[in-house]
Amino acid sequence: MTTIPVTLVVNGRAYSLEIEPHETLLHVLRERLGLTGTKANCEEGECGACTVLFDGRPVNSCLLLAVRAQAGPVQTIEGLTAEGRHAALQEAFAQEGAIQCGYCSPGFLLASAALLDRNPRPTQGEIVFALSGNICRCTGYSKILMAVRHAANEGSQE
Amino acid sequence: MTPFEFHEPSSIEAASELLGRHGRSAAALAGGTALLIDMRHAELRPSHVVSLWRIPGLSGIRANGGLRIGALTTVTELGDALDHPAWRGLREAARALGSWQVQNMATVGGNLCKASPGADLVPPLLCLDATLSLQSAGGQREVPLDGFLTGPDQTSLAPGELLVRIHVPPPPPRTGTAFLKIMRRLAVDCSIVSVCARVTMEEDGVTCREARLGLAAVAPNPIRARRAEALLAGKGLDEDTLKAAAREARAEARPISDVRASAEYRRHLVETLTARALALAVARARQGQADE
Repeated sequence: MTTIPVTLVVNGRAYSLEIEPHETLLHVLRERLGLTGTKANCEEGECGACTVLFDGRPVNSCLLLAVRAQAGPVQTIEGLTAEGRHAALQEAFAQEGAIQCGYCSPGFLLASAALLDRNPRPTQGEIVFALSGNICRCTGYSKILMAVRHAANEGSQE
Repeated sequence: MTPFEFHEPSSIEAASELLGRHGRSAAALAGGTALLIDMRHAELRPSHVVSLWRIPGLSGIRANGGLRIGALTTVTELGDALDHPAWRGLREAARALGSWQVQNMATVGGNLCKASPGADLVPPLLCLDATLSLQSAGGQREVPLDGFLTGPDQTSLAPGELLVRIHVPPPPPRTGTAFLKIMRRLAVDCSIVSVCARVTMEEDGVTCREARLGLAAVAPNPIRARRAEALLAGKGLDEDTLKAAAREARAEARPISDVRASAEYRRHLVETLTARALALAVARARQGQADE
C-alpha cells in the first residue's frame, strides 16, 4: 500500500511524515511520534482515553484518520505543561485525588481543559456533559468532578 | 483496519465519479465515527475511502426562517445553532448523540446516511418534515427524509450519489418539539428507544393543528407514528387525548428484543416516552406562543 506525505502540527510543532492512509491519529501519535501520553484502550470512541484536542475541540483520536488531522492543530496531554494555562487544573486533579491509576487522566484533563477554555464557570451539569465521553476504570468520578469545579473556582479568582 | 486507497476529491462531481466507479468497494468519509468502527470490526472493508472534507460548501447551517444544514455540519455545530422553541427537540437529540468528543466529529449527513435503527437525529428531522438534497455527477434531486431510509445501513442513495444538504422548512407559529431518549446508561450509548414529538397549536392555544411523532430503535429505521399523529390533529390536547395517542404509538412500534432491551420493554417505553414528549412539546408550543 502506498504511503502518503502528511504534515501534522502537534503541540505547536510541525511533523512531516510518510504514513499509510488507514493509520489513525492515535496510532501516529503513539507509534510514530512517541507521544504515549495519549492512551489506546477501547478504540471505538467509547472510553475517551485517546482524547486529544483537534482545532481546540476534544475528539477521539482512535476515530480520526491521521491524514485528516492535517486540517487543524492537535494538542495532546504532553502540550499541557506545568507552566501552561491549565497548570491550575492539573494541580487540582492532584490535590483532589482525582488521579488513581492515571490511565484515563490525559483524556479527562484535555476534555476539562477544553471545557474551561470555552466556559470558565461551568455548572455541574455542564461539567458532567463535557466529561460524559470519558470513562474512569477506578470509578473516581466524584473526585474528578470536584477537581474541575475546584479549578474553575480558582480560575475565577484570578 | 484493512488498508485502503485514500481519495480527497475537491468537487461533488469528482467524489460522485469515484464512488460510482468503485461501487461497493468504496466508502464516503464524513465524521468517521461510525465508518472507522465498522472498518475496525471488519464489518466494512472498503478498498477506497473517499473523504468529503475538501469539497467546499458542505459545512455549516444557514437559518432562513427554516434551516439549510450542510451534510458535513458536525453534531456540535447543529446543537449550538438551534435556539428556537420549534428546534428544541432537534437540539436535544444532538446533545444526546454519543459524547462531546463524538459530537465534535460526527456529522448530520453521516447520522442520516448510516441509517441506523436508532439514529438520534432522524426522529426530530422527521417531525420537522425535513427534505434532502442529493447530488451526483448526473444531477440533483430533492427527496423527503421520510422514505429515504430503506433498512439498517441502507438508503435510497443511488450509486455515486451524495447527500449534500438537509432542508428544514420554517416551523409554523405555535410549534413546540421535544426529544426523549432512554439508554442503558445516562450517556454515550445507542437508544433503547427514543421519541420525538412535534405539536403545532391553533390560535386558541388548546386545539392541535398538526402533530408529528418520530420513534427510533423500534423498527429497522426510525418511523413516524402516523395513526397516533392522526388522533391528535384537530383535537383539544387534554390528558386523555395524549394518552390515547401514546397507546396508538405503542401499537405502531415494531421493536425486536436484543442486547439492550426486550421488545416488550421497548413497547412500554414508546407509550411512556410518547406521552411525556407530547406534554413537553405542548408546553413549549404554548411558551413559544407567549414569547411571540
